[in-house]
Amino acid sequence: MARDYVVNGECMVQVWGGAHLGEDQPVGMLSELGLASEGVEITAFFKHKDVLTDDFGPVVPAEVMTQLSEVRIKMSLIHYDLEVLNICLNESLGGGNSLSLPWPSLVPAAAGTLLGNGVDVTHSGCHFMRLYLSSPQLQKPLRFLSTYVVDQNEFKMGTERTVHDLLWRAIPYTPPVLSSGLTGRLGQFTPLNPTIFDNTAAGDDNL
Amino acid sequence: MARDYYVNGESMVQVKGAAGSAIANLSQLGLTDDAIKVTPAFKFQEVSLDAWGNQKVPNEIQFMLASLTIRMNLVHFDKDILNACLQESVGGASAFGTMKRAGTRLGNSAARFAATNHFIGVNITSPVAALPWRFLHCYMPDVPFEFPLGTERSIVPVTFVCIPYLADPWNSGQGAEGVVLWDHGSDS
Repeated sequence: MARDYVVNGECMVQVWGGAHLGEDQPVGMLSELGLASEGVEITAFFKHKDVLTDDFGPVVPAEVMTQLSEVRIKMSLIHYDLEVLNICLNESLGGGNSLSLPWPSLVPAAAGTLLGNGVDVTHSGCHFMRLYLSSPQLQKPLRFLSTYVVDQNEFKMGTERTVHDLLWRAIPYTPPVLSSGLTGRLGQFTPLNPTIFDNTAAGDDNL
Repeated sequence: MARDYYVNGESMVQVKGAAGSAIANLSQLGLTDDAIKVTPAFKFQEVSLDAWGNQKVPNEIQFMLASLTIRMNLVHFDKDILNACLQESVGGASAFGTMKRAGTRLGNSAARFAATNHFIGVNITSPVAALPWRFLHCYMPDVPFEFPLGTERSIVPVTFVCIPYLADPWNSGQGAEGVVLWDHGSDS
């Protein structure tokens, strides 16, 4: 592949959450969240741990271990679906706002609520969401497999259009695999090749 | 097409706006005392890199859409139609000189000429060149006119701004691809 300027194109943000939301309801199925006022910013954080030995002194490592990675996705939504946004915020807080509550509302789940709950993303009970960023010109869309909103900056309510600044966090969530002989809810975590994001376009998912 | 002098001819300015407004039908705004000036403003984003002089001169340019300004000095005009244009430009005010609430949108994600879309179609006839100009989504901007009041006939400088409006800016993933800013058609 030759060098060139990289232009992603118009970036539509879409989300897909757990089936408990209703598989024909917003976020329960692939839903458009909206368009950003500027580009969507993606920042990857690679985690490493130094392996120190006395031979190499106390500061510079002799070896380095990888410790997975996480990605932050920052966007300023300007043309968006308010209902989808509201559901994303509530799902990120553990889904305390069940479908019976009207929106907009913010109802966190009980403290200590797990987001994954040991089930796959988009399955009922999992509050992580898949996040999709379209790439109409570059044709390299991004799919983040397990994300949640970690931060929402202040937004203004007034005569001008309201912009929502959201910070999403994508982690390599993997439901634990129960090995034979083990009991209890948590079995053995096998994060082999955990995927944080890939190039799957919205709608091309193989569930 | 061969080279020739270009003469537009007597340019009648016609406008058409939202359904239910005073200019819901194509209406004559008027004639000008001199030429109508059409000034496009193309927007570009420079792409610079350190290897190319670090932002002194770009190596590449990205096109970032365009808007357009139409300036005219009305001398023989329909004041009611001018008033209607002003009312539409503030978001569909009920009367000349009244306001709509702050933050009122002009397009409202509605189709052209829908009741809630207050953009105005500005048409300029071309009886000699047979090349009419149509500016699809216009509004009168921050200084819409200067109205001299005195004993002489008033010549009113009027400005319209035209933008590439689209009800859904996502446009099925196409963005502004194919959005018409102006063409040589005519509203009816």
